[in-house]
Amino acid sequence: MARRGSAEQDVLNMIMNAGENGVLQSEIWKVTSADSREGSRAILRLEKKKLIERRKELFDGRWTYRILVKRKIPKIDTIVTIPCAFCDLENRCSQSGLISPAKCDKLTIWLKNLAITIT
Amino acid sequence: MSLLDDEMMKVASLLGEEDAVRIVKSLAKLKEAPDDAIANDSGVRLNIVRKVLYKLYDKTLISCTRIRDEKTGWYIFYWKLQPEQLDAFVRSRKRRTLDKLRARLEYEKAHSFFLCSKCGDVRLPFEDAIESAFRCPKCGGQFVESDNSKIVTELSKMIQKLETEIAS
Repeated sequence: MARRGSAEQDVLNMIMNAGENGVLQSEIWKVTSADSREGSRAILRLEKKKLIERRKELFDGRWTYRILVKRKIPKIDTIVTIPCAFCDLENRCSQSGLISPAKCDKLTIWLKNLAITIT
Repeated sequence: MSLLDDEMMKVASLLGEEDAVRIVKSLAKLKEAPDDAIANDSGVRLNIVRKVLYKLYDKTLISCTRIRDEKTGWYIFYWKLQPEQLDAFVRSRKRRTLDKLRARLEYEKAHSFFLCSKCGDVRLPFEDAIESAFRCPKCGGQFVESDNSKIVTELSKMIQKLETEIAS
């Protein structure tokens, strides 16, 4: 079932996978399921959402756009090991609450291990 | 599978373990599908599929479209990944984690700590250690002062790292 958002998602995936050099707009239709009409609209929507940037470029004697992704692929690796990042008790955790980051056992164990690993 | 989907899979594994990874993998393959199709493709039980889908929907990592079945009159929900929301999700998680770490750093800096010399598990600030007469409430061992300078250093480094990542 092709819906409005699917072309947008396909295009964004492709641009994000292309890396820092970006990808030519004319190349996108060759790879994704979207045709040029549907794809151009998806690109405009993504630009409006400030997820991508378009730069005019002359390619093979024709003007096209180079599409660059504005934000890099978000990396979760830094916080994966920190217990607070995906804690089940997060909603009940506050500085003055019964569960607090100051007295949290999970956090203490993580900090102790971190200090030991470094030494 | 795109790099974004890979990252999505990592998030799924943290939110709902193995079942969530299989469901996200199926969604990445099917693009947009109802829950029973996801259950068939992933091999996860339908009730678990629904539970995980609601959890991911709650975090805005997936979206759903409601379509009325003309024959039965029932609504069918079509689910789809929202990789464009992943960045916002990761950033908000990092920001929340940063707040917690900052609070902990403040606490670590403001207190001196005592650790049980026998079991090594119980670590209390001075105020609590004095109340128990410097004896471990768990094993009765003697408390000795514990240097938290390494913890403070590592915590500060982690905070700095997260601040840089959020700012970029």
